Amino acid sequence: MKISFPRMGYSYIALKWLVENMGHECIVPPEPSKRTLDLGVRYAPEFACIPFKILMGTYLEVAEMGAEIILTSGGRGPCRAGYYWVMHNYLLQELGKDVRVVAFELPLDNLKDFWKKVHWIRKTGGLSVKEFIRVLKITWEKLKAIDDVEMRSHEIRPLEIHRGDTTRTLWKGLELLDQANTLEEIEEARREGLKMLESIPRDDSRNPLKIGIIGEIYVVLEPAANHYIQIMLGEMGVQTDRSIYLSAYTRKNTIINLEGDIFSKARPYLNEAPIGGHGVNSIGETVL
Amino acid sequence: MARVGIPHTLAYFLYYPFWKTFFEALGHQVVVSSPTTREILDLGVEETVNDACIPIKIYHGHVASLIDKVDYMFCPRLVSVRLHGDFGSETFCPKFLGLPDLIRLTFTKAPPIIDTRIDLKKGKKELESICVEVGSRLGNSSQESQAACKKARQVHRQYLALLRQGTMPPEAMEILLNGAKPASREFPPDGLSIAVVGYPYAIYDPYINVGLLNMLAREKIKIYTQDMLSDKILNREARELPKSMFWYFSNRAVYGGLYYMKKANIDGIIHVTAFACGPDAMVDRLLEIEARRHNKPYLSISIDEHTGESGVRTRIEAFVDMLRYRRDKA
Ligand code: SF4
Repeated sequence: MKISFPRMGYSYIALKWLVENMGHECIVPPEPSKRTLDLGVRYAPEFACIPFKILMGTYLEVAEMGAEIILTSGGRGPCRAGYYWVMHNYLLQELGKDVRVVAFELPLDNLKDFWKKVHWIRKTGGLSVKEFIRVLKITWEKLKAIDDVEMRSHEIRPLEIHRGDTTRTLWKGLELLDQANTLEEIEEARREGLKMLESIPRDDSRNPLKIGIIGEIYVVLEPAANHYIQIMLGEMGVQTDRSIYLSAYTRKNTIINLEGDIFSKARPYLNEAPIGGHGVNSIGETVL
Repeated sequence: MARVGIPHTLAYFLYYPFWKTFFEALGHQVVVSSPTTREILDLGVEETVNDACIPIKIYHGHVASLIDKVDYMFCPRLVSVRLHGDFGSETFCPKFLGLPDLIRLTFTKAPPIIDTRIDLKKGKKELESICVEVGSRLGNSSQESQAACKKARQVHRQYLALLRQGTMPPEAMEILLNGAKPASREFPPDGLSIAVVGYPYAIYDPYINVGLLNMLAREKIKIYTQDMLSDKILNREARELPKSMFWYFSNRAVYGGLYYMKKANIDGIIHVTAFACGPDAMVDRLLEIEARRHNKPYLSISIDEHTGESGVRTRIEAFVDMLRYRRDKA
């Protein structure tokens, strides 16, 4: 099957590997552009939020590129995002597109549905359970390595002497990770990527301003949706750290909930958790 | 004895009889704000951020109008009123969840707020313990509160029964709480039937929807709403969706809309939606698409503080004309 997924930052590199190694064809979602947003605005309800519209645009673009299935995550609310896939499906059907959005709900919520979908993806790709688990493991490591390299780049960028070095190097590192096919290769690419970042000529005497970036998960994660804010700030000499990384998010939310701490920090400001869209995490992490 | 204030909006339309009975059984006085008026809306608009949805603005207006008249403000935190919803986690729109905090931070001079958390999915006995907690804030013993809870439950059941018979909430409250006689209405045999779905605080508040139900009633149209359907019927509709939404009132509107779409005796569906409502962006499009698939005429009326009566009237009249034409042709 031709499979695509939402684009969130650089995670597409790991997800592309996943889809291809599950025995499917991957339609890599293009970086959201003006056209993506225009498409989204045209076909999404007026009061849907920006992430909904960008995703709508992306889905229409991957449909044009031939995608048959779009894999995404569900969610349990109260934020609207957990309902996106249902609406996206309705809208795509109405437009007569031959593409279906398949969402994985949290295994915590609906274990059976989760396994059913996992098996379906695995079987249609023709993988044995063992191979499948191996592929998932590698994807996970890849995802983490991508986050590691990106995280480091945001620390180095404000110190770079030649503007643009870091971003160029980051891409080189990401390309290495893109090529890596085994756990060992990923580890090697990760180390190599970090090493390249370290060797960028930099001025350690600067004491960069540190800014934390918080907010709704999609807007924070997709550079094209936030005007490349981290790169922009970095090149202005600001060190940024953001509250959400995809690997950290899934690490926390899928199986166990380690967020108790963050909730308690937000409590003086908001009594009911969660209110959705990472509202609580945003408030809590600003305090931290 | 304490005076407890209840704002005449949001959950009021479904739960007022319950809480009125409860507080009065405990010997307190219930003060309910007047139905929404221009002044209440203005008070609310003053106190809220610009991009809040109109129901939240109005809620603030009702609270403001009650502040000097009560000893306690009843503003519970509605988390879930379902024993088990979709995935067991159906809740309310985020603005509901944060409402007591908003009220507390906005009205620093407000009387103590009773912001008890209402989360019925936690267990069978939950409602009773909530009542005990609310009672204890007012100085009532657990026994008193339990007895009052029992009484309130009975009244609530009668209230729901009246709604299921097709009575509108304001009339049902009159019958139940003030012993009014049910009004008898005649409908012409060839008259139209329209289902009006949407949030109770949008469809039963004639101020915000500029008298929409009355416009229909004057045309001798039989009106149905989602609140006339039993939970069993609504839940059946839930199973036909790939997934339910996460917000209780939104789901009721969606299920109700889906149910009436399939009914041959319903001529059309009107969805009353609140401008700038987060969930409604989904609800409205979903209903619109489903209505088209079911070949049922669908009209969406969006309301905000600038909604003019004549604009709504024109659209309603055009819709009704179209329905009549459609029926005559058939
Ligand atoms: S459901 Fe919509 S109208 Fe109701 S409080 Fe939430 S945002 Fe406002």
